Amino acid sequence: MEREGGDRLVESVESTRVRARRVGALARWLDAMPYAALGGAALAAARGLVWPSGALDPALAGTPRAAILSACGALATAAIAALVAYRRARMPPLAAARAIDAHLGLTDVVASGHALSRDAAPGPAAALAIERARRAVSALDPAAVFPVTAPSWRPRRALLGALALVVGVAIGTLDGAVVSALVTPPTPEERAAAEALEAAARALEEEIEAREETRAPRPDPARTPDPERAADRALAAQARAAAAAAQRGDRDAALSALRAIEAAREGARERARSTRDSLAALASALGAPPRATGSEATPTAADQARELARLLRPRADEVDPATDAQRRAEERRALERLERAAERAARRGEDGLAEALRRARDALSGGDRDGAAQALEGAAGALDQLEDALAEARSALARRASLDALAAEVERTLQLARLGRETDEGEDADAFLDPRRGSGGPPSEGASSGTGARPLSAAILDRLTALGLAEGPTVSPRGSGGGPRRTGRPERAVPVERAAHAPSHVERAGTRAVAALEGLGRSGDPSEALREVYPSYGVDAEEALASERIPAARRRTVRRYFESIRPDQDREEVPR
Amino acid sequence: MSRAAEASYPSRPDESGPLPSAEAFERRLEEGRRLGEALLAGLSDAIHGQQATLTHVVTCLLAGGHVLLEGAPGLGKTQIVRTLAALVDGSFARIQFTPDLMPSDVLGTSLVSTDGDGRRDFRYREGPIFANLVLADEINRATPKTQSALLEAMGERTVSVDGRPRPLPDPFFVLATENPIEMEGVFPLPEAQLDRFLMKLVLGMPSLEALTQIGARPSEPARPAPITDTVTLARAAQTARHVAAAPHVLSYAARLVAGSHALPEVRYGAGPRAVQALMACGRVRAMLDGRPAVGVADVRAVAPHVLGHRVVLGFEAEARGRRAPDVVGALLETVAEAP
Repeated sequence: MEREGGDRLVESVESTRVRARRVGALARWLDAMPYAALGGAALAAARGLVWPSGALDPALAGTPRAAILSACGALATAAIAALVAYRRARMPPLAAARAIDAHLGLTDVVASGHALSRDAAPGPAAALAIERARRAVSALDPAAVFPVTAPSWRPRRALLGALALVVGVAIGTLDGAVVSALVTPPTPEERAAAEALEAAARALEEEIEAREETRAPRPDPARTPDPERAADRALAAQARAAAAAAQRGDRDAALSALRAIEAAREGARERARSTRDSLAALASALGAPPRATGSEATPTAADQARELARLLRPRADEVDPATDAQRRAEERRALERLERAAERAARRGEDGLAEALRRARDALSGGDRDGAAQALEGAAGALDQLEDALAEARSALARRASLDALAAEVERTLQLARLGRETDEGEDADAFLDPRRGSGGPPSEGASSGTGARPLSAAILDRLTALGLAEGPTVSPRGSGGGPRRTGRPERAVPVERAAHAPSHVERAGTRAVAALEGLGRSGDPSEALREVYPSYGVDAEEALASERIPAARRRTVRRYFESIRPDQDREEVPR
Repeated sequence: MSRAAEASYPSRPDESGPLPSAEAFERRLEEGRRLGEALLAGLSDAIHGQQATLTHVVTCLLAGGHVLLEGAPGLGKTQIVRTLAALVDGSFARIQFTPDLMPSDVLGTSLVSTDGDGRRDFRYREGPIFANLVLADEINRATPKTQSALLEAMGERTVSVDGRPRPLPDPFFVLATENPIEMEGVFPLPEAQLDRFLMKLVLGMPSLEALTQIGARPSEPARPAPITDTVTLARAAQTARHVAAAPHVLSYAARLVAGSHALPEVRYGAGPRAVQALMACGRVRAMLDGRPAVGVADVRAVAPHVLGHRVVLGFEAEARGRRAPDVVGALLETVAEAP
């Protein structure tokens, strides 16, 4: 009986413990619901980092994503809160027994009885205590002691939670691009460059359409697609996307689209280069001794193939023994050429051409000169197609040249805007980034004969004049009239060489440059002054180069500029 | 083994005879509860407005400990002991402590006596301490030497005179009083010896209702008739010592005592003997409630009176006017009931 009583006591305490844990966990979990709302709101607010909308329209794309993230965050936080609440609501048996005592209005009767029973305490007092505890819990219903009550409605808490979620979703709606566009809106230069790029894209599309109308219909466009047309369309679409992103201030998306354009351009160039190399290799392989035709044009591979076919045609003087010997020598040479050409064609992936050349080789080796000539004619046709493809690719590259230049200009304005130098500092940075920009040619051309080749004092004075800190047109307007300017922001591009023509009242120096060169230029030796300031100047330049704020394409230019103005005699020559 | 040795506390707390069964223990538990109830009822008839103090006095009596009563004159300190002595059919002695009281006046002395044959010999004459209930009135008026004699006897329950130990009767219950008002010509009890007392009870002013009842009484109450004898009392005390204690209750008492050392206001905390005192008093309270096992609430109820005189406050706490019961109250709030 005592044993049964002890078991009953343990059962009651254990069931009470489990029940109390559930009730406690539920209460704790309900208390933690505001944290779930906060978790959802926090995740929704971080939507720009967690789930950026990228090139999509931010105002529409951000809201549903933020709502989804808020729901996920709230659910995750609620799940974690449930786990924590269940763990923290763990109740030891002693606490459960004391809870029963408290419910029954007893003084440690059940708690002491349970503990003494668990420890198998000896003695009549312990036995009596256990018996009394058993009697106390005999009619106990743990469900009645610890009822699971419905959660009470707390409107204030619910309102605050909903408010937090709404605020989180509202914050999450704002993408980084939107924030960036709001904080640093597109500059007029960016807009202008983007508009120019968009116009160029539109013109390219119109040109594609016009070309399609004039071109003869393809027999089966689905089976024989025009790769350059598709590439042109893709390029125009990407240019439009880049222009749209730049106009709305989404610089990341714009740069991403511009990188895609650049990649496409590089791909097209690579394809054209590959085709050209293939044709050159085949022409070299098929090349017969130059005929004394007086032709000035370099024979193409197709010409070489046709010439070889002509040589292989049966001739009337075949019966002549002397000519026959010459003919056999020609056949040997032709066999070697065909073998070499077929191998090169196969190596370059021109399988059809390689097959035609092999057929010609096989026919010739079998003595079928006519068959070899016919196969060579077929190979010449394939080579003609390759020539056409190369011409088309070159034409496409030329067509896209203006668009590429505009894309580069858009990228430059975007990078300048990112550097935060859209205003006067921007001009300064522009000049620093490319001091010879606008001097009549691409930067690479200007760099080859730049400041480094001129007297140092003249270069310094050029620079100081450009910054508005020195007087006198000491700089010759070298190359100022050459080459078309890059479109986009002609009025802002103030090259060093042209600074003498700028109004003298215009303050063009950046803050840092002004601080570094303060007090210089008006009098004294500029070279001496530059030696004093150059160390800090150079350190700043190296830091700027080490950081990623300067585009990789411009770093070499910046390094070259600073190298060119270094006052040391033994300055290094920076490779271009 | 003498009865005094059987019931002694805390010098020999475990020397208790085995109990036959749970049913027998339940009967004796009921006897103990009724005895305590009767004693409390008898005391309450004579003294109004000090119900809690009376409960603690009965608790100490059944726990085999001594009580130090502190209070202003006229609050019924002497009356409590007189009534208790009347309720228990045992010997009673009152010692009025004065500065010129000698230890021999308390413990007894050997005197030269002549027998019928004319031979002279030293014969020990017992002092007033050889009584079941002893009232040591105004104990702080005696010199430390006399105080120490009494306190030693209280602790040892034995008096050694002329090299011969003489056990004190059982039950032996000392109820000492001290007057906190007068500070001139008093010798405060040494703090180290204060724990000879199981409890220190501070009597406060009765409530207005109790004062009204006291005023309505025409004269001093009649001396009550004895309701128990020393044997019954010793048996009830033995029953109380057998009350079970669960580990969590023992742990609570131990944590209370250990926690008294951690309080910043306390210079010296309670000693290990305080744990025994807490458990002894808790057991008696459980018996008075008819429970076979002591609970945390029992320990909590007696802790302020058991620990109050065992902790020594620091100077800062005394300067701030903090009292030991306040500090013990804070300790009770600090220490968790369940480990």
